[in-house]
Amino acid sequence: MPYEIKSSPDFAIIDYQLADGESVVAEAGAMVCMSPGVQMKTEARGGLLAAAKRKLLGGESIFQNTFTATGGPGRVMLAPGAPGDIIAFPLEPGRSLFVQSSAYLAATPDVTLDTKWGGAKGFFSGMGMFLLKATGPGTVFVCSYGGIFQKQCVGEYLVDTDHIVAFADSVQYGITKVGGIKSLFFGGEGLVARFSGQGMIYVQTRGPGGLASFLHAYRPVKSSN
Amino acid sequence: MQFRKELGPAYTLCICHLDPNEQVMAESGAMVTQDAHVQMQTSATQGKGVGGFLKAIGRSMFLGESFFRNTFTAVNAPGEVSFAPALPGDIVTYELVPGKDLIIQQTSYLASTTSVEIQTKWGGFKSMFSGEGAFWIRAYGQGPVALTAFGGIKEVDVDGAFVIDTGHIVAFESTLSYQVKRVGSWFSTFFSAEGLVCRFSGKGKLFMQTRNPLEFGRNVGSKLPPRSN
Repeated sequence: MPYEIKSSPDFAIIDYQLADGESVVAEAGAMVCMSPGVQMKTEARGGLLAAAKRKLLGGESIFQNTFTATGGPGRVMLAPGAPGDIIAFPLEPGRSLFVQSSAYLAATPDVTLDTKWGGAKGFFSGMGMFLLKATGPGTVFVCSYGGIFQKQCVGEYLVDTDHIVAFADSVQYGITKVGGIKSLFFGGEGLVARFSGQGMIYVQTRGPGGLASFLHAYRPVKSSN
Repeated sequence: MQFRKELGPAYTLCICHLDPNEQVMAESGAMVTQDAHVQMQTSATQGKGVGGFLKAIGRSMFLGESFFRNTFTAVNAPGEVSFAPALPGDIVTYELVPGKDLIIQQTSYLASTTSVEIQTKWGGFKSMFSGEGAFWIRAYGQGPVALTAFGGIKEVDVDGAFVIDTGHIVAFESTLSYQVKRVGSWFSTFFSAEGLVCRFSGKGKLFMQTRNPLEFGRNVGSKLPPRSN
């Protein structure tokens, strides 16, 4: 394993050991530190148009940085902006992981990224209309605000839409509500994603919305003039 | 019914295991994941029927409190539900025994078994000015209660007297008596930024949180752009 995820789950960071000539691709701004022999190249992967589409629809940055060890082995450390966890997901050739926008952090160079229409249901559930689709071979690194709870889905499993980080392409999902009409209005749970099939589901233990709405109350009030 | 925690201490998740047809009650909005066969039902905390329901709506509208809780039932098979609070922090489980109640600061209540009764109490005007919510929850009966903290949780065995900032209280056993008071002189009250403290006396357990959400809110909130209302 060329990488290690350290300080998990609260403030995780990837420590990636690169062999000579080996590369890792990361979201803009993710690099924390690196050895001097590591070269960074900034590019719009798959061409500017494809990258712009991913930026617009999948929430990923247009430009990504590729870190390559030159003149011997090297090391690069990668971390997201928010406090929280990181997981690594190994992808078989042709298999994919669906990633919630803003949860993508890094990948090995052979992983291809695309956006997938999540359906109008995603729009109404707060899940976002588009998901990022990372396809193997390779490894994709996914991050979240909060810890990442890993659940092997067998049968059916429900996840609050605000807490979905990523899920394997071997599970299907739909949007549903929990409880009755009263629950929808007063239960505070809103809509949930119903996963079925077999495969991994990654869930964040906190939603950034909870912190944001708490802090909103403490914002200074604009004086009327 | 069993509570287990995972992924702490900053963003701990509380996982509840239910035997067939067992139930767990939780704060509204706390559910993160659940098995598909687990059924959720929403009820007002102000008693049963239409009266209790209307009363709950009224109170939640005027007092900004969550007066609805959800009950999860594992229908005919064992099931799992996980819960988390909105803010970062750790979770602790407390086992209630008959005869000893637990007084919980209202935002610290997360979930409990159905053999535990949960009663919301008005904490008096002093608690309103203490920076904490004006409501306290009295939990009594038998079985586990899951509590959340802002930050880490420390358990204190009080024997004699103990003074704590009101913003750091998570919960305490009813064998303790308490008084909310100022620290130091009136001068200190205004300028020491210590506000009000709770002076506990007697013998019993106290759970405290290592951070005060009010302080955090003031600290970060003041750096955010102004809001229009």
